Amino acid sequence: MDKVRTASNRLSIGSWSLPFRSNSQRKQSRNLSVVPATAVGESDSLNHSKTGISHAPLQPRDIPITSSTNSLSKMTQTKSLIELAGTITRETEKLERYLKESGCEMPGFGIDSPLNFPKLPEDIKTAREEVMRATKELGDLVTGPTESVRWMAWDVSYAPVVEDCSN
Amino acid sequence: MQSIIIEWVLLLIHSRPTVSLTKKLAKAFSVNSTATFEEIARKVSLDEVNVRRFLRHAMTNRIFCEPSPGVVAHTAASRVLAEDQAMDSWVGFCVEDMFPAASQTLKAIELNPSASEPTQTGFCISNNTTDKEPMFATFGKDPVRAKRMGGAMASLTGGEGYEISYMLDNYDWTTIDSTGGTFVDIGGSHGFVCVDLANRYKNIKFVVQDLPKTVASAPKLDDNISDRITFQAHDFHTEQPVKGADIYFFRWILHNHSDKYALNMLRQLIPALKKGAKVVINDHCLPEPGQESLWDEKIIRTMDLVMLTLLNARERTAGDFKELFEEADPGFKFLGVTRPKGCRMSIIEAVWEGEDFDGKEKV
Repeated sequence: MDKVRTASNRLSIGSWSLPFRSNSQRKQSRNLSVVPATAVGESDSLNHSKTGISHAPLQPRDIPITSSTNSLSKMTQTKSLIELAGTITRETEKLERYLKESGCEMPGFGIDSPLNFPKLPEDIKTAREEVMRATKELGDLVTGPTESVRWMAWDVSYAPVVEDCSN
Repeated sequence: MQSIIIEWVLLLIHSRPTVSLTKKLAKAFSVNSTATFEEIARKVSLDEVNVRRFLRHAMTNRIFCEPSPGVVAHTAASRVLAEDQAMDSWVGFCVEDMFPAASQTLKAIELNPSASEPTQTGFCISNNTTDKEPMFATFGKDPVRAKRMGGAMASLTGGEGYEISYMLDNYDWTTIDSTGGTFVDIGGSHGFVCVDLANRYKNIKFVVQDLPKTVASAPKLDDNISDRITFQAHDFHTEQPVKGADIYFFRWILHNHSDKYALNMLRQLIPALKKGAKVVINDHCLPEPGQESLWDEKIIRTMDLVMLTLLNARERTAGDFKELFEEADPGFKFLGVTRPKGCRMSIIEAVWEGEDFDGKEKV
């Protein structure tokens, strides 16, 4: 378990982390069920033993906090809506404070609005990226998988018209 | 460019009618198991390198994930693609029918700027049917694609905001009911609207008109309403045979036609119209810009572009409908547009104040 670290209230595995959940929560969660080894593809022979970690095959949609392989997909980790909203608020405040204090123009949709963000110091650049990422993630979550797939396909099918027209 | 890549990925992932079931990436392995890229590649008869690059791109849209190196598992989104039949039709129609049609639409309107003929669309160019046949004829020859389009449309219009109940609850049906008047549902398919109305109003008589094939396949109606609902084969591009009815109704019909054909459809009614007859259209009505959120406005404006790319047809604003009636004949008086709260469609109404039809008894 050398790759598992705890930092404040967070469990950190490799490059990702998520908040602890209590044992009772874990037990109630269907997401944490583990499929029998026989259900796993041949790939399981991938050499997990190298890492000294026993590899528990993952259920789809899993939040695999009990598993300790370091290549768990970030894609099925689900942050809470409020956590994401909090990230957006917190990081937006950082960004806006910087823009105000450094006398930069505020972003806008009008003709006189700045066309690009100014060069930002590293921490503010990160804050801006966090806002973009968390906004997208929160939007995807509240849209839900079925509607996300619906509008993804719909937007894709109309891209040629719109792109043609803007060329 | 990103959109093109997503298109490829969706194309490979969703079901393709031309390809056997086992070739669907989304169905290449069960939603409760995992598989390696190599296993999936074998299953769908594609090269592993390409399967990997497609799937890893799809993963950036949360379609599939890679829980450990080289092992693919489903996500909620890939599960939708694997299990939801309606969405399967939707995605298939979007990426295999609409996308190629959209890519040829600018070319189509450059060749024929009036964009008024259903045989000169982007869809026609992409299907090599220009000046030969409209989309419905192409689909008529291909039951698999026709069924997929039907499923795709049903998955959109079967959703919230499209229920027939909005039409039933937001129009004055008591007048026509009190006089035992006649309601003609033009292009009414299997009579869904008439069946609902007949169950609610006991005196209205109904005629459902559609093409012979559709009429022939209409299911048997319940005994308590069947004596008031008549099915009739009729092509709405030709003269209206039911004379002297109280309401002529078009649901999801006018938006399938350019002004040229919509004008003709309205004019074909005139020889049948009595003074005071209503023409009621149940369709999208384009809002003026900025009246709705950009998101809601985008849906309805995309639908407008869909009509262009597939049929050279269009969605219309209230003003467009008013002009359409005025241009069809000065005898039409436009009464206005009602959009029930929560409904994505509108009720558009006009009354005939011109000459009475030629005196024959109404049916």
